Amino acid sequence: MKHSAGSVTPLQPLRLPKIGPLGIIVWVVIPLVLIAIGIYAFAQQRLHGDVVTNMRSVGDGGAAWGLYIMFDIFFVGLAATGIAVSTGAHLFRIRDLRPLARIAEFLAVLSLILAGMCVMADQGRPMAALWKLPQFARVMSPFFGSFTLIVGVGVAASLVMLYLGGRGDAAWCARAGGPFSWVYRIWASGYRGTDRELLRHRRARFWLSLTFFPFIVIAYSTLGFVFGTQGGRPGWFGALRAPSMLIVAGISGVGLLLAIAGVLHRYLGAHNAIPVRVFQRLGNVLLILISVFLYLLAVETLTERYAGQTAALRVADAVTFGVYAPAFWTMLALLFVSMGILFVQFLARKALIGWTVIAGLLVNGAAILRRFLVVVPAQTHGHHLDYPAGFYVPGWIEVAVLLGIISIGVLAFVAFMRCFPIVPLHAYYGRMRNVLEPETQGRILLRRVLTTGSMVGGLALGAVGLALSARFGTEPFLDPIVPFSPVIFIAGIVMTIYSAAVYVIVPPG
Amino acid sequence: MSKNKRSTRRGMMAAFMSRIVDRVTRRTSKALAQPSDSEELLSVERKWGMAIDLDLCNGCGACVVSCRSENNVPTSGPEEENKGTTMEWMSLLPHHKEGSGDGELPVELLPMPCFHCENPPCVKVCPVNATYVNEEGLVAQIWDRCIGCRYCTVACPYDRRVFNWKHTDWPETYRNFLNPDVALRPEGVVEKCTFCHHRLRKLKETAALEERPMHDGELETMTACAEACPAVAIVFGDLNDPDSRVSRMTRSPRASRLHEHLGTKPKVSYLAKDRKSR
Ligand code: SF4
Ligand code: SF4
Repeated sequence: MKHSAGSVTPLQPLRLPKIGPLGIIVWVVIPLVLIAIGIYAFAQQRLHGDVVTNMRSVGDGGAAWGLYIMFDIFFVGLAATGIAVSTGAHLFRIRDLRPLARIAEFLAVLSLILAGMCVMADQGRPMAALWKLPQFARVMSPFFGSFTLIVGVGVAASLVMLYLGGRGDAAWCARAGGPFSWVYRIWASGYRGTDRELLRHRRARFWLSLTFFPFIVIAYSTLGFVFGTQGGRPGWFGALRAPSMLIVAGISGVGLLLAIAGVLHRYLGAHNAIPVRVFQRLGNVLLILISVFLYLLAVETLTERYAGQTAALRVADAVTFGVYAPAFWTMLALLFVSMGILFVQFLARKALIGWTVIAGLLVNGAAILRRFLVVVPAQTHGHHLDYPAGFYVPGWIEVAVLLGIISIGVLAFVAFMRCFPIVPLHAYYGRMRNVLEPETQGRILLRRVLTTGSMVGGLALGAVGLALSARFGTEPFLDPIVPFSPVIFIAGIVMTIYSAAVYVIVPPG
Repeated sequence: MSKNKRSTRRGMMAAFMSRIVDRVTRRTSKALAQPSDSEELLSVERKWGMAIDLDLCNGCGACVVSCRSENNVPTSGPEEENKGTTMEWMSLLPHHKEGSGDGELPVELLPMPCFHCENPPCVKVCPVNATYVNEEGLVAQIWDRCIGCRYCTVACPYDRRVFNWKHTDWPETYRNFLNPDVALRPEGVVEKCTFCHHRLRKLKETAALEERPMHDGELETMTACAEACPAVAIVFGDLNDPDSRVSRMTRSPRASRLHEHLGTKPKVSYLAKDRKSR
């Protein structure tokens, strides 16, 4: 594989260099210690019951959902943005986003796994959940969307995007040798780096992005529906819940991407790969997202205050002037400070990387507080009846388990950055040289047949799984006709997604 | 010798097969038999509901205690109260009244079971069908299937579901007094009032054995809370039977259901205090 003519830089991938003793302590030892503490805390939770957390019964002044669900939404939001950035880069041919595509894809896979861990930590019977959900998941429940679409399908699709986008670099890593070269060889098997192959990759990713882009909106909305559809829970119920969640997901995702890109730019020398204009453009996107969110927040608040329904007003009061006011005003302050930073940069038509990173981190703080304000106050104050109002702050068990989960993410991210080019090589070296690829008509036909077969088969399987799970036209409160039909549905959709990989990996002959 | 052995084996097989055939035919004929009169009477479409007369209720809490002991609900003391882990299927909720008249307390106590809503938000959201509406309209719970996600608890507008935050260690002395008809729930699942479903089943079985329909009189105090209420403020029965006491109470001008605007259609009605009778 050769890089384009005119490039003088020797082919070197951008990946984390060997880290010194301090780096090892910060990036490896501390996360490992936190993971150990998290495992201990989770063991306590399993041994003594969820009573060791600070979550309590709704109606007893407590919140039955707390930190775990907050971060489940947070992580899924990160994943949604990761997928949006990756698919957006291919769909709308936004060249500036391409260097960030791999970070976005890996972030999506990782975040979805972490989100799954948060959900499992929240369950009263996690093992039962692992067994019963695949068997009986009900389409009627908004959880069905989160379980099947987000966690199952989201991981599959992000993996395919990551796989397709990383094959070229995997081939390079395999040639470079090292202890993991066998992994790279599997990843890149059949890859030749020819023009036609690149074209096939591009086509596959384009179509995948095309189908996947609306999927993110639908899938993430189902998470909004978990709250927004609850007519009996003032403070949750509302049509704006899903869109405003989607916007906050965008804010936190873009913010985190900016922060990671800033670190890569500054400390790992990714100047060529991630030019300053990427920060400028993403900064502007972030500015727009924050403005839209503030608009939605204003609309929501005005509607609640104007209607003045007792229970909804109780929640709104608790949030703006009551026990949750510090979280609310801090969230607003963080958003306004970030907006200020980004707006000044927008006016100056400049991006200062350090400030952009700060803005990216601040909006993530705001997004976490927003998750808290969505999940908690409606449970402690949103009662139609005269139950006492309460309060929730996470206990040490929840915090320790969550830090353990986040540490798993940090470790995985560092390991990935260490082992694989985190910015695609083509972002540095441009298009690869034209290499002719003779391909027989038979092979072309075989590729088409296999791809179409797996796509149609997957869609059919998905439809059958959905029909068996949903029992359309019958009683809505029944079990799936066949146990595990939700798995059939997921398998179908995953198979459809993997048809993109089939299209790419069939060798030219 | 071998012939003998074979014939013994054949004999055993024949005996075995004839026993199986006998059992299968007996079961099939039972299943195919025409329903008896009592079965027909029992299969009448029911809609179980409850009416609670607040004019009669004196807030003694007998319903709460009897529900607890009938359904093996773990006892809760000040510790659980402070921790917010109280387990109650039937609670007395202080309800602030608007415009209470002279000499009346501004607060009344509402006995609160699960309302077995006709359009239950708790059932809609359950991801694994661990809670469902059974053929008699009761909102039932499968303890063993519940994964403890607590979605139903946050979806119930009346906060009538409780989560098992911890494992209950029943003291040895209590164990002998646990109700064998009601399963003990494991830690990590959600539970709620079942309208004493096990008692209803027993009542049905008795009626079927005696080949008679269930009487409204025996249904009225069927649930443990209704049975224990000294003021006869709680009445259970079939809302589909226009002559049942519960139906008549539900039709009273004093009757209303909590937060009907939510569209949950609760099957428990409250009869407001009768000012004239005071
Ligand atoms: S009262 Fe609550 S728990 Fe009972 S059926 Fe209605 S929504 Fe469900
Ligand atoms: S806690 Fe149990 S019954 Fe309630 S929604 Fe979850 S699985 Fe269903």
